[in-house]
Amino acid sequence: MVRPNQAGSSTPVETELKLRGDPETLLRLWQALPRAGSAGTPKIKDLENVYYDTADLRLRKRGLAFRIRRDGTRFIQTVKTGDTATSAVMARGEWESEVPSLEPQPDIVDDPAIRAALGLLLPGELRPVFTTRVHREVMEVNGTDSLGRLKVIEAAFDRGEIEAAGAREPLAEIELELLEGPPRALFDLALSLQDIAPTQIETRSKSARGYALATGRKPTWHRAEALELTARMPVDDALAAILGTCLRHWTANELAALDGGDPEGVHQLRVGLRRFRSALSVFGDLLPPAQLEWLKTEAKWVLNALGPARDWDVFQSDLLTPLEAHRPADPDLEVLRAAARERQAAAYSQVREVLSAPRYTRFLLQLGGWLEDRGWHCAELTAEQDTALNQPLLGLATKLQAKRHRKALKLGKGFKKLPTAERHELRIAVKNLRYTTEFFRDLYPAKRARPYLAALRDLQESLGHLNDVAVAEHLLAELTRSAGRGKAAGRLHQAAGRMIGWYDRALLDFEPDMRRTWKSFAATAPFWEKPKKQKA
Amino acid sequence: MITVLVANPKGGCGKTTVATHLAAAFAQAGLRTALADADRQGSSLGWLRSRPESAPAIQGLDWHDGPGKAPKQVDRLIIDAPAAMKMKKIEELLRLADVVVVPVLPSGFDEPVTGEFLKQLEALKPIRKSKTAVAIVRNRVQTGTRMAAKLDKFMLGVGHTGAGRLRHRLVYADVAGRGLSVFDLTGKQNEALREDWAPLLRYIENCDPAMPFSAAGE
Repeated sequence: MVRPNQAGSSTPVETELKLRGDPETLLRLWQALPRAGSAGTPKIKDLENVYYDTADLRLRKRGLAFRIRRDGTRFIQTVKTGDTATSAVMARGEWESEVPSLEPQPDIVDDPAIRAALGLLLPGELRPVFTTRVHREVMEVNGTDSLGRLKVIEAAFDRGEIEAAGAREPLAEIELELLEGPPRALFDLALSLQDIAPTQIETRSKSARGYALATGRKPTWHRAEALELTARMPVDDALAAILGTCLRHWTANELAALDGGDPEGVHQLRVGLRRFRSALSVFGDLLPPAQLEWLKTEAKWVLNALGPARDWDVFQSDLLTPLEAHRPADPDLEVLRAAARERQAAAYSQVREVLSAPRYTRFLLQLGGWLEDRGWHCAELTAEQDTALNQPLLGLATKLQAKRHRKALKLGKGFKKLPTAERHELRIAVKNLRYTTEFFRDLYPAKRARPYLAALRDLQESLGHLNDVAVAEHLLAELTRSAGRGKAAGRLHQAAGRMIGWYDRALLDFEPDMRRTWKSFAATAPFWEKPKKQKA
Repeated sequence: MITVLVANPKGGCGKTTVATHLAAAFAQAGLRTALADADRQGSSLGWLRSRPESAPAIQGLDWHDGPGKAPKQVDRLIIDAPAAMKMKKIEELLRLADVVVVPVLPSGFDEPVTGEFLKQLEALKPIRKSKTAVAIVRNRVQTGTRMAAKLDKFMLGVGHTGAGRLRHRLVYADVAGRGLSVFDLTGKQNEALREDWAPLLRYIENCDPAMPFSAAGE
């Protein structure tokens, strides 16, 4: 949504927020915007943008957008760098010049950095990939920052279409761009618009949408971007960086989750949210209680709503498929598969409902604004919390990891004889420990962190089998409860019994593996402690 | 930056021709280009010395005592590897490279050596782990001859991407002595020759480590 102002980067970045919705709703919002005096009179333009790339889309792969804009009788050629929603590129450069026609002229680019980014282009290699045609209205509107000071925001309302290889897609969005000052004002303005009519946040640039249309490719899922924490940075900066990374991780996966074609979309979205919640629990003592409560509640609401989709994905791919391989063409399992598919489809409509819900958009906008001006620095923040936030990160990181490590060791004591319920508790402690250590691993030498993190991952995966059975039991109970009577219901009961028996037995097989991974984890020295000197 | 290693232990297969032409192509495209000569004979550096000032500049690096530091602010670095190089030395250069270009001649002498070399390359870590790409370019090809057809068959067997074929033309011998390349010449004939290089150049451009994005929409 907002191109983040990366800490430590002096490069000016456009700070913008885009809203999408149907054209009628957006028009209502447009008319309700607080116009800024005479500059509030909309300027109207009809624009055509042709985007160019090589046949193997090298510019796209390099995160570039190359376009020529037809503006009346003039043609403006623009090369943009870092043009992706999840781009880790800090600098976002732009190089513009007037050209005589729609014929691309990469050779006239004389900025060495942009030239280098374009790479070698063979003669005539750039060809049109897609075109956007929009009717654009631009005006200035009034916003206010957290202190009530007036901030001028440029608002643009685009209506039109994207065309690629004969395919067309309607385009309607309101873009809010801050001309100066803190970005909070953008979020507040967007929030006030939500009171008039609900919209969604558009995370994609027009060029990203154009490429998607041109290649016909489904939205892809994304991993979390790398965290760049240092031992000496204040806890406050680390908190902002971690929460920001989590937020970008989950929002980057919204489209893939909405599409639903690849289970990884919902999964990654949930991983981002779970890491977010984990960060809240890690830093919880440093946040005002009311804010902590709000963030936890909203994150949990989204996570829970997305849970069934993930559960039914895993149920089919990790539990049902192996069983089918063992018993091909089993009519009982076929009934079970059909029932699972039906539940999965329902779970995915719930995903779409939640991600389009006004409450979700509101959460993102409030969270975005809160993160931008570090809203935890408010009247409710105690003096101790404030002091702790100004300490170097290393001390807190070491303490937090040690605490969670101790907890895991304590819960796993006497692992061999530990009943299942207690192993579940251990599993959850191990999961929290893993998120915590992965936040902070970069503060320590990689060589020392690696064996510990590997042992931790092995243990978590091994204990995951416990969860498989628990999820299977829970989902199968749900299916059989509503199955009713009759032949199909009978088959479903049969299949459910077979599956539970199968995985209960499998758990026995995994017992040695669980004991082994536990033992090796318990024997691995934590990487945040100074290595003990060994006698020669 | 993309680093290209041009290597083949068989002498006379056109390593220097390929290395100097790649450097000239990148320089001509406005990219900051360096050419590192790891060969004792220093043919690439000799070519650079005779390069006229009017031609796009290429930075020369003398690496015959082993790889030096890659210069900053360079967009493309081409390394001309020596012939009959020990695998240990190859490995050292390979760690720096994003892509290895192996020129092959249509000759009964070259193919077995090249095949053996490719086998050894495959065993090296960066290639085994697909961190470094390998492109084979057929050099001095006389189209329609029996040798050319035989080379095509050989290419099918080695299981690496063939990145085009360079036709046998006298102009290559001519430009070599003048510090030039077909990328520095005008005329219709040279334009056709430049097209021979397009598949290899495109292949190299796609090996850019600065390509973190998929071509799909976000």
